Amino acid sequence: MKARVEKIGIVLALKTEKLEKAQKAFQSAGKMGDTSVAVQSLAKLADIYLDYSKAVKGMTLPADVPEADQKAFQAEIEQIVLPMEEKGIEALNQAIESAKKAALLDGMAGRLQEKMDAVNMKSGGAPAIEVEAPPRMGPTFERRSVGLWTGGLK
Amino acid sequence: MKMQSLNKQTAVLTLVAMSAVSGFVGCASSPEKVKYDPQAAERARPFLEGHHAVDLRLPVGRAVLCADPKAEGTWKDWVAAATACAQKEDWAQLERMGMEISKREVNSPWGAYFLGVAAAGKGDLTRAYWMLDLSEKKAGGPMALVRYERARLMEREQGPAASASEVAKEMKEAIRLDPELLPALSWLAQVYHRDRMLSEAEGYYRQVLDLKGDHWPSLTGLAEVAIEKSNADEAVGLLSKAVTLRPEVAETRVRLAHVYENLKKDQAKSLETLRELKVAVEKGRAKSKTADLVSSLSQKIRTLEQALKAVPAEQAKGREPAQKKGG
Repeated sequence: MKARVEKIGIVLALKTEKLEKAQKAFQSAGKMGDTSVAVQSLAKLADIYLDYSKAVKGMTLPADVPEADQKAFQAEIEQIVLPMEEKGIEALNQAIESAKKAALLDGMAGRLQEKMDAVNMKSGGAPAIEVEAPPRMGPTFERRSVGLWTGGLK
Repeated sequence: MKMQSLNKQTAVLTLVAMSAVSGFVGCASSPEKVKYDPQAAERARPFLEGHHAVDLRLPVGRAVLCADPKAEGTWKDWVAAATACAQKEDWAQLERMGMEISKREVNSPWGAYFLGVAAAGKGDLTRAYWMLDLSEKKAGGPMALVRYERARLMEREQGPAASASEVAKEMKEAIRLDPELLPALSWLAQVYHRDRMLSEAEGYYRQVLDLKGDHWPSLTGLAEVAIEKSNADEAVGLLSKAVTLRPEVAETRVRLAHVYENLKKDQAKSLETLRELKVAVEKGRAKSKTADLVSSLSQKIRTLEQALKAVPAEQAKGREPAQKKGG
């Protein structure tokens, strides 16, 4: 049993180490000066924080560990997970705001907002916004009549 | 004989076009760099007066064929015939017409414009941008239709996932030149809405609806903005109108029921809306894009029915002391 508990410690240390490496990489990419890259870096940063919290939250002790220890373990896990979740939401929020501010209009802000809504368990059942390809237009010299083609020219 | 002279004309026009646009030939050139000739504007004025843009998806009211007009036909007849070719997507014929208009009316921007549209139709975007730039040079200034067409080409070239900021710039310029260019307004509304830039989206949706109150995509789009802003009354009004216009779209009624239930807190009205939808689906008068929407309909109706049954029971409990008092 002791060995299995120690394994959890090792896994946690490995995950934290990898998180730090990825965090540094995305932070450097975010400072490269390209708005699009900065937005994507913030979004990825949010992803790794949220994935980390989800993975850590999912860690369980073996069933034969005494209940008191189980509770203490869960309390410890919560201590690690909550700030990470907050960081994830903060990074996601920053990514959304940056995308909107830069007016990239590539759909990224909308996709990130959907992710944020999912994290906040906010589901209004709103349909995805589809952008229709602009139709072909042509010139006419007839009187303007919106929505109705008035035929050829005189 | 006629075709031979046309081929010569092609060569001449190509050379003229090349010299006219030298310096910014290629894809999506920057029209901001173009210095327009005021004399060209003066010469082009008669060809531009009174024109506006029409949506080529809509059916032709008066039959204009994609064919050479009669011998006594005016340049307007040629433009009408070329427009019919663009609608028919007959690019070879359109190119021929563009050449003919360029030959007949040297000062008109329409020849180059149609040559640009034909090139785009054939997939030659470099030539398309080039010809569209030439048409503005001939017009002596920017043209709404040209800016719109450029935006369309850029959007097509980049794909929907790319940043639409440059396309949006062109669309905005097109609207500045023609504030009634409905598809440009609608496109901008949707692009801003997709990125949840609600104020901008709302502004464009409203402009579309001011022009065309029954524009369905803008009614449902603006309704979603109203839902996001918790503006229940406006959402109900817009969705009700959308349901009247297209009763076959199940999703609109589901959204209306959602607004009644969650924003207006009117479960009875929500239930009524869903029941109406269920009947419409059963009779084949409405359908959904997704199968799970229809299957979840009965479950949702049952939940609302149970919730509404519970309310009178609660109310009856509340009335007990008063009845006892009275009795």
